[in-house]
Amino acid sequence: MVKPTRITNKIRELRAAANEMTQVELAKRIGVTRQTVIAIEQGRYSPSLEVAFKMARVFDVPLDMVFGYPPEAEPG
Amino acid sequence: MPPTFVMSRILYIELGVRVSFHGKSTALMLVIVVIVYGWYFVTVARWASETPVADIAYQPLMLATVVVLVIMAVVGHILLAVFPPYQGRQPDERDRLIEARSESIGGVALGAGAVGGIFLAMAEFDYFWIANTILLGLVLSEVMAGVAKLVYYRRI
Repeated sequence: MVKPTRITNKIRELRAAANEMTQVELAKRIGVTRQTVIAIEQGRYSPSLEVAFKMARVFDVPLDMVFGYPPEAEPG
Repeated sequence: MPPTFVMSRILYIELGVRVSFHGKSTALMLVIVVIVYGWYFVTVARWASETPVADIAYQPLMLATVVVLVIMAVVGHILLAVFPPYQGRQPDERDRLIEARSESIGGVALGAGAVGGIFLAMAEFDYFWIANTILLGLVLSEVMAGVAKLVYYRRI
């Protein structure tokens, strides 16, 4: 069973803002496959820290502008 | 750049082939293993039902299936690389994660086959049963790992 990730991302918006960068271009620049970029963008796969930092560097933004992690719901 | 073209460019990439070369390779190997070893086990089971197992020369057939498997895998991968043209790349971290998870699932069958082979040897069963039990474990391991990979490639 694959546990869904809670990590959110703004990759699609950042690609659009970066002169409509394609997933293929992004994949080449961070050294992964297009399928991996698709999986990350759709929230099915959480990338390693290294890939996450590379992605932030490509868009020239801080890491937390690419990825987010919503706070846990308060118990009770 | 007109907005429609921009949208179609993004959609093209989104809706493009989602299965990587590694995913296709996994599916190909799964089909080949099922066909080759499905045929092998059906054949030896038929022999075992007709002849005392000590008299069955299963070894040439077992070795021949390995040769056939390798030839089919090589030809299949050449065709996969040519249609459509293979972009050429190394597996990335997601491929390695899927590989590791799938291999651990396949390892269950591999272990079961090995343990089964040990028990059959201790019980002094014919070599026919020992060899084929271990082979069955290997084949089931490949099939389970292959199916797991295909599922993971769709889910991760």
